Amino acid sequence: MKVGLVLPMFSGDAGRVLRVARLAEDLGYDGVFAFDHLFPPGAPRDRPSLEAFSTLAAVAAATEHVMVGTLVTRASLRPTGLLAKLAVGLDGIADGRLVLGIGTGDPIDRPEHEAYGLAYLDRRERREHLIEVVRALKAVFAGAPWPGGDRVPAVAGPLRPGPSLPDGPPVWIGGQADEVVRIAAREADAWNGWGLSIPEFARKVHVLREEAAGRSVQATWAGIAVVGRDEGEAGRMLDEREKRGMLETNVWAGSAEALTWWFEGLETAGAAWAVLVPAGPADRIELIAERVFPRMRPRPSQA
Amino acid sequence: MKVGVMLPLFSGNAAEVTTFARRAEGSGFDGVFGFDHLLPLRQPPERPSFEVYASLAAVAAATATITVGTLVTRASLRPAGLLAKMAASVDGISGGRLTLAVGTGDELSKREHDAFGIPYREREVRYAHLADTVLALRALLRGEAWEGSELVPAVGGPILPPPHRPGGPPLWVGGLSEAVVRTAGRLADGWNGWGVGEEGFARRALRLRAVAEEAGRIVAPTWGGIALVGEDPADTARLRERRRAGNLESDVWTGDADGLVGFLSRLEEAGATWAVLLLAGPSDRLDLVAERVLHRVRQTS
Repeated sequence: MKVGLVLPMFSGDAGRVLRVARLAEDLGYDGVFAFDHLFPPGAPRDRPSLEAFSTLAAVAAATEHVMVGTLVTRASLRPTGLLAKLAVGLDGIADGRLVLGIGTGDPIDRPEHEAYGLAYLDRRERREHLIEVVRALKAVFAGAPWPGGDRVPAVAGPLRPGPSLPDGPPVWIGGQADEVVRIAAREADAWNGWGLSIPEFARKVHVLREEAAGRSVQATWAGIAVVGRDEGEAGRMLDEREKRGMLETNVWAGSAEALTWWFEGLETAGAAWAVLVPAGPADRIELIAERVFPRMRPRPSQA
Repeated sequence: MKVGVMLPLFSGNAAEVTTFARRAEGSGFDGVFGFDHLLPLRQPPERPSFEVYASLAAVAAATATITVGTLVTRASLRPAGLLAKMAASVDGISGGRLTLAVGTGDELSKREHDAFGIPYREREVRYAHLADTVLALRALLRGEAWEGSELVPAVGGPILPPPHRPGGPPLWVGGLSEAVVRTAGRLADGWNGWGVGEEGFARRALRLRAVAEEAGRIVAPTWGGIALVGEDPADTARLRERRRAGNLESDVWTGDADGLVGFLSRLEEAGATWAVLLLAGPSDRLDLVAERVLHRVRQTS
């Protein structure tokens, strides 16, 4: 199983994001990922959020072998033709290291659309739109025109220079609903589930495999991780989050040792990637690398 | 006068773009600029063209002091709020080195809109849309909301993180028509005349100053264009012959290094604060201009 890190996009500090990306690469993480929000979801509008594609382009220029990815880019934020051009541009700078995670977004993102004068679709429309966007991206990545659908206008391209891989960068579809998992099974290279417990994740993987019916599609996990040096510290970190009003229920919390076992469980449940948002002090990135990586089974990037 | 060069975004090699930017920085140029084209201009659509904001972000991360700019970004390609967000991001990554030049695009770029599913507007609408986009960018990049107009919908803002500099990056407006020069004079920090001869440049620079003064503003005239620079008259003649054989466009400044010093000096006399060169011909022209032109142009200022 590969391990990735979500970059501190809500810090608003591009220099810090570049430092974290370089550090993650040096420590042996397999990938660094960025949210795609115009301001942080669920927060007041006056909180910062770095722009995903330009920030990742800088990250790609500042690193050499770590994967760089969106997790996830919102299908409805940009015209699809521009999204394709931007993704391929980033893939070129990253020399083929791009992972394009994409999703519908959900009602928590609605204020962003309203604040930026962008159309907001209802749930059914968002899913139909996502399917067409992924089909259009896959088509133009592979050098074929997208003829246009009900929700995404025709994109002939061509995209030149084309992507590094003949069929384009891997496309992950992120989302929790079984219907979105099934869309990923049919349309994408991987599915990403956010903040799921191992039993929930395993159940979604079952849905994914059943719908894929033999088609190759990976399952990937992502979420917030509160990692302590021991269980006591993890507990104190959780209390601290609670005091600050952060009452998420889908946060993983435990000691570095417990994370090792938990990773084994995730991998057994079928995860090809675990992408962490490391909560708490900045040194958790090193802590995880020092205490967890040596105890994991050999990872593909090390094989 | 500051001298910049256009990045090789039509090269198809991402590493070449950042290498070129580092070379330009190392040899003393003041800026590197990128076109904003989804397909290359005047070439078959199968030819490469890099996305400008991803490229500039990579260039910003790979350089330390040089100005990075668009020349020009097309107002009609992206929703204004997203454009402002991208621009603020590149300004942040570069530590405040962005210059954002905006233009309307023209008939030549229509095929890009068609090929990428983006609406194309008629000329008069493009002019009005450009002016509103500049107003929206101005507001958003200095931390205010854009109240919205018929052509550019409201954007609540604030754009956070904000641009590195409190007032936002310098905004230039590029284009040769009277409408665009007026927009630059009324609303922008700079105007760019692409591919225009010295007389045409001087005439528009005067017009720009008149419009700007009327609005109580100061707006910097800047020049941009293709330059085919020879080492000496014989080398220039050879380059010109080769280019003519390739049947390439005609609005190209052509001459040797000494001639370029004269041309840039005359642009400066007409008020130009920047000249941004798209260096045609062999790749060593960057070194040629760095060695034979840069210090002499700087001496005149």
